[in-house]
Amino acid sequence: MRCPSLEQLAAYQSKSLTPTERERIYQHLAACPHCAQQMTALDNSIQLLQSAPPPTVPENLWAGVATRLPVTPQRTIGQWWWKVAASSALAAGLVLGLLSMHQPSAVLPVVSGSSISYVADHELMTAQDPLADRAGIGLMLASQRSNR
Amino acid sequence: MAKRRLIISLLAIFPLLLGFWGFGYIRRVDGRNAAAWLSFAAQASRSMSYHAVGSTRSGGRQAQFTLDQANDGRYTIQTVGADGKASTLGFDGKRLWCRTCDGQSSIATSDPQQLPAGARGRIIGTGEVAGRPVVRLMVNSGAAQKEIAIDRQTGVTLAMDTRFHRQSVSTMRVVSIAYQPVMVEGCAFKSTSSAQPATDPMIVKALGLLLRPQWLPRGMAATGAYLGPCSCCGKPMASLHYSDGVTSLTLFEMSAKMTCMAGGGCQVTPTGNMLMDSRITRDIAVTAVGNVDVRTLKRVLESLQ
Repeated sequence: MRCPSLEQLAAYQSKSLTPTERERIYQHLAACPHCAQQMTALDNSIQLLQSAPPPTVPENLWAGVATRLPVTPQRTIGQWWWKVAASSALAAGLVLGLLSMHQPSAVLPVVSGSSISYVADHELMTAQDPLADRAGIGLMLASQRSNR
Repeated sequence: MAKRRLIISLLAIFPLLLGFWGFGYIRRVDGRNAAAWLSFAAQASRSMSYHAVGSTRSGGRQAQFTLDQANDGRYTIQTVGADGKASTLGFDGKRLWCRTCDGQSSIATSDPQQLPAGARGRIIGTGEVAGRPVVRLMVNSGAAQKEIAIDRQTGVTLAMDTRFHRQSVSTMRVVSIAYQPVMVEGCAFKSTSSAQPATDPMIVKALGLLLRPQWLPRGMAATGAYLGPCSCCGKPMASLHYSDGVTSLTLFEMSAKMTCMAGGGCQVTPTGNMLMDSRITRDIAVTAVGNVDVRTLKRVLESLQ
């Protein structure tokens, strides 16, 4: 068997090989002092790394990374409902705008003098309408007749 | 992508809004929909016997009122304003009359009018007025709008807020009501002004011509025609009344040769809840008064033939 590569030895060391390959390298290491020496050096390096203290992370590391990240819009439920609310407000505004078109645009003169009698007669006839506010009509009639 | 979602949102929101708004038209309370409640109220408010006390506000004036309603349609309603001015409005079965501090007038009329078929409303909720459970309805017609509270057991209207161009013009609220047999007094005075129900030939005979509008707002129908002396000049004058249950319109017609018709174009009444306009068509002077908007009033006058 040819000598395994350093990557194959590292894979053997981390036990990530198939049982067949593992068995083949095991037998090779027993017969090849050069590879056995490399394997020992690899074991020592790993033990050295494992015994080293964990690296300390600078406090402003994430801030520095975050400023370099590209800004991408995130689609969230909150934003979706904000759009729905805005659309509702727009729709309601449109409806109210259309309704307000029915309002008189000009200030009209007020009925006065003898013409008020027409209003009083109309009020009296309105009292027989099925949904008439008769109390309000009585009050209006009292007011209009006393103003004549 | 964002625009597409916005358009989809708008398309989704409109049906939702329409559905929410339209729910009031199909909603039922005690097994009745809005149309059935309106019909019940129009009938019950004149066929129940009751004595009610309440308050009213109209044209910036406040008043207390007492209403005595008999189950045959007769009624008297006495209103006393905060300024001491009083009026009595009544219907004795034959005549509708009004008596104030400085005058009285009457009009011969039939039983209270029926609710026109076109009257539509929507249920906006339930509540309590004068200790009675009520159902609340909103009735719209053109520029006029009424919010009424109807007694769920008897159908009597216990509160009403009338608006014109979304401005409140009058409110009525019953404070206490007692359902019991009520005696209503008749019209025990001589009228200074009176009008009689009249047919078309009677009006044509008196005026020489009768003009009828060829166009009316949707749902509005003729509810009465009367002939009587003009309260201004005493000459014959025809009064044609139209109503849809919420808005009403009266056309006063008299010969243009003897007219004292109102001038000055379109005018608003002092209480702000009605408009008046006049014109002469084929030698007949016509004055229209009603709680309709300017455009409707002009269109009705233009359609006279």
